Amino acid sequence: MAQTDFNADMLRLARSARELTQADLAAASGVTQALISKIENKLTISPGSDVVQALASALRFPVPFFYQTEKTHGFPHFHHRKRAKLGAKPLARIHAAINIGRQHVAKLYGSYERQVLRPIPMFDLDERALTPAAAALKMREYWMLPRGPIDNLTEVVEAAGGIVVQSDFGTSHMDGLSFRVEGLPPLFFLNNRVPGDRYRFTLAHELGHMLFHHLPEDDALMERQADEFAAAFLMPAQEIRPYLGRASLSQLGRAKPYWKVSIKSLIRRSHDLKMMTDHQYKMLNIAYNKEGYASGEPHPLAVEKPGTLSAMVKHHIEALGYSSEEMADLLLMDEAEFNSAYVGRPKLAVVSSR
Amino acid sequence: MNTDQNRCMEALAPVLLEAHECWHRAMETYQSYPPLALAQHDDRAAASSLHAHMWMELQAAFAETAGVALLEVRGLHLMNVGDKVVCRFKKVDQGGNSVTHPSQQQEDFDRQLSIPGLPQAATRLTFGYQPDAAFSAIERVLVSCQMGKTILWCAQVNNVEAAAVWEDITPRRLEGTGRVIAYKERKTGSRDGSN
Repeated sequence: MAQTDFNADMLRLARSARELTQADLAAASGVTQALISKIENKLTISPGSDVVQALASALRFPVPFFYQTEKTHGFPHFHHRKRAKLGAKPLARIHAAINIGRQHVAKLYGSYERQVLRPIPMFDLDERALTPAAAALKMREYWMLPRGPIDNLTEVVEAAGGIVVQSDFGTSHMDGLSFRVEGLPPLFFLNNRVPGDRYRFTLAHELGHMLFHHLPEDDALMERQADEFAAAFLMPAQEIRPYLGRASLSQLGRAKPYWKVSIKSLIRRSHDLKMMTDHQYKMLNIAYNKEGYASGEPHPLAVEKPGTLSAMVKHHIEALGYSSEEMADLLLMDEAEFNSAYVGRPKLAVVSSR
Repeated sequence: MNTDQNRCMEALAPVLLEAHECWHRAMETYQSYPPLALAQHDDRAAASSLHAHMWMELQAAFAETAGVALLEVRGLHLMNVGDKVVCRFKKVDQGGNSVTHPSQQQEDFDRQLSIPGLPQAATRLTFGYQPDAAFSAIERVLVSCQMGKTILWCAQVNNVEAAAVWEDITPRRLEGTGRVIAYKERKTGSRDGSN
């Protein structure tokens, strides 16, 4: 393989993926921290092959990984649902996971063709004079979804060309994110640590971003619009109303398995649809927290399984005849890691630090 | 009529474990309904369905048991155990109080009045369940004895290593103050139940 310049961004990415500090990497690789710092800051542009080999071994990435001409995409370009207490280190790890995952998808997508009848469009709410809730109903019509709950949201998104990737974010403080990059369909990265109901709401929320938010706007507004879209897409007002009458935890607990949304979402929806007073909303939330549902609701839902990524891997192996070694070469990853990440149960465990 | 808790619970002992399990099996059956059916039930429909499953479970468990008679007396589903106690089956709150509006028949039952078809001397008990807040599981199985609207006593029944174990959880009045001390407070020594 003809090697070009060493890509310092890839070193930083690999280090974040393994959750190593520069000092950790120095200890693991035998390369001085000073040199690692200079490489990452592009003061040393062409490290020697022995140095690169040592770093690659310590980081468990093949040497060609560090000579890719790829650029990393930063968080400001994506839409993501995260909690305020997400620290810098796990954020860097997720950043690495997403970038590596995006590279994998791009490489696999190049030889994988599929027809999408009704792709995920982009439109401007203001231009069309639509609220997010109205847009949600339009999208249900566009994708010809039956009335009532959406049985499998992941299938809907993937049938519309989106690629849903489940990944271990290493934290439960971020639920998911989405973005569009040139040459690829919309990508949705979902944290596989979140429960099934939250997974669905996050996916619907991210779908809202992909539909409406192509240019940076006020963050709070974008989040509000994505939430409103998600709520209306999963729980259309007219159809959910009969299930929210005399809202109580027991009533909403029984509605949860049918609508496949959390009790929390049902409480919120009930309030947003003005089916309960502010006081009732407050009391129900207190009861919800008192029952400990914030850390785990009853009637847990299974997390939906995406199929496109595994279909792409399967296509390469079965139709194109790739061996696992060739697949690992293609994706610039360790073969054992490829097998554990993609062959057993396709998911992007590539960022596993251990 | 003897309403002594120990005597009543002793009379119930032969059926206690199985009846406790009947509530849990009834809830399992209820939770196996299609999601649409569950979603369309209100609290009353849910309690009514669970009661119907409980009655089926009781019949399957005790139809052939000597000394146990399952009765249907003017709409009330009852279990007579050895002519000493007669139980009805209800959704109750944490103190063993029925949470639904009682019919005249139920009020008579709770007042320990004579009801045609029931042994006169048998103590009337409520063999109840308390569901969790989301109605996804049985939180507790409680046996209570009422006199009118007053709960004389309440016992919580647990399955401990395949044996029925009960403990008295009747709220008590703090001597000299009249303040009612809930079971949780009695047990933990603090009002919010923390140790």
